[in-house]
Amino acid sequence: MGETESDRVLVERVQQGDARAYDLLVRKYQHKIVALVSRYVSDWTECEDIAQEAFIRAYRAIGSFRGESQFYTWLYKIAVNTAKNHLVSQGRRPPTDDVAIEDAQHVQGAEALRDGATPEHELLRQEIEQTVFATVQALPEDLRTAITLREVEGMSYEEIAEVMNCPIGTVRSRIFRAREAIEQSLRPLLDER
Amino acid sequence: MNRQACHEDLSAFMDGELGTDASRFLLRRLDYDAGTRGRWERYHLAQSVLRRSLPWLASRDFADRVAARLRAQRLVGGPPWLRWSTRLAGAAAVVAAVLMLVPQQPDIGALVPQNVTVATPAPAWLGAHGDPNGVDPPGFGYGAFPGNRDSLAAIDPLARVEASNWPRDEGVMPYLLPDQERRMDRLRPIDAADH
Repeated sequence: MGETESDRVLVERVQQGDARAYDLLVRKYQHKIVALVSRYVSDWTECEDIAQEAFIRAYRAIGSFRGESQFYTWLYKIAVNTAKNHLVSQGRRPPTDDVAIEDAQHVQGAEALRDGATPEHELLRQEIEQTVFATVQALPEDLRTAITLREVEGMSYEEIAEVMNCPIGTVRSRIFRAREAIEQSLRPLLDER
Repeated sequence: MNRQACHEDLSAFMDGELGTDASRFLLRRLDYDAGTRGRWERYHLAQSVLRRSLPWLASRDFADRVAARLRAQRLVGGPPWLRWSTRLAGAAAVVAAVLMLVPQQPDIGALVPQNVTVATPAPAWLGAHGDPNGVDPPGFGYGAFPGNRDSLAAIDPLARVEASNWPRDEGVMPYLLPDQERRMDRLRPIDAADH
């Protein structure tokens, strides 16, 4: 079990015709894919259009996805190809080296792509970061530990239960309460977007 | 299930820690619960921040625009089996229409004696009275031959039979029998005009 398990479940639902399940995948990966495409195209609007096109192509092709790789890895390849094809169609030369899948989703080394964002957009992104970290710092220790072990260390509920010496149900509850606290603090920021 | 329990399930599902049945139930609920869907998005946004993987923020309506484009391209609209069954039903309707329009032609080889030349049967669309000036039907009929009587004769001179001589009680021209060979004399021979 792991978070890729939820992807597997959602992909299966999409393959059975549940478009709403695809919407959840889009909402999950939208920022990563836009960030990835922005490594190839710096214009903000163009970048989002290409990212949308990548999601549409992925939806068209999802019937052929057999789960031999992770869904994000598959989506990542589609997004890279869509961005490159766009550059070629515009008479521009795509970069010879692809953005590594690990680099595409990390802030380090992403300064260049942030140059393309509007100042308001970048300000919002920074505010979101500050809000999330401030909320986590303000959490009770048991919630903070649980969410950190889960989100930063990537531990399973079982592993966290061992570390925190508590039942899995308690881990589940703590992680949920931590997420709710963060969500509550984020909501006003996102509603202003 | 109350709302808080649903959100806790959402959190567990996000981590791949929710059972199969509970996942199925949750996803059904997500179909109509926009608030919970928004939570899903914000939970992941927070996760990206904590993992320092939020270099760029997609527009607020990004997912909605993707959904709108999928709808506009008619890629969304029911499960695949339903879409396929709709297409099959459409194809079956077309096939049925073709079968109704195309004249039912008997097996020529079985009806005609070996030593008799066969005239090309006239199309059923000419009707019992066989109007020679009739206009060809579009598309189907006569093997979907796309021309009028003259163009038909250009390909098969034997087909240039006076329609007035066709039997009045049949929709298609009968195949020639030995005692009807005299009709063959009425056929105009091939000449230069045919080329």
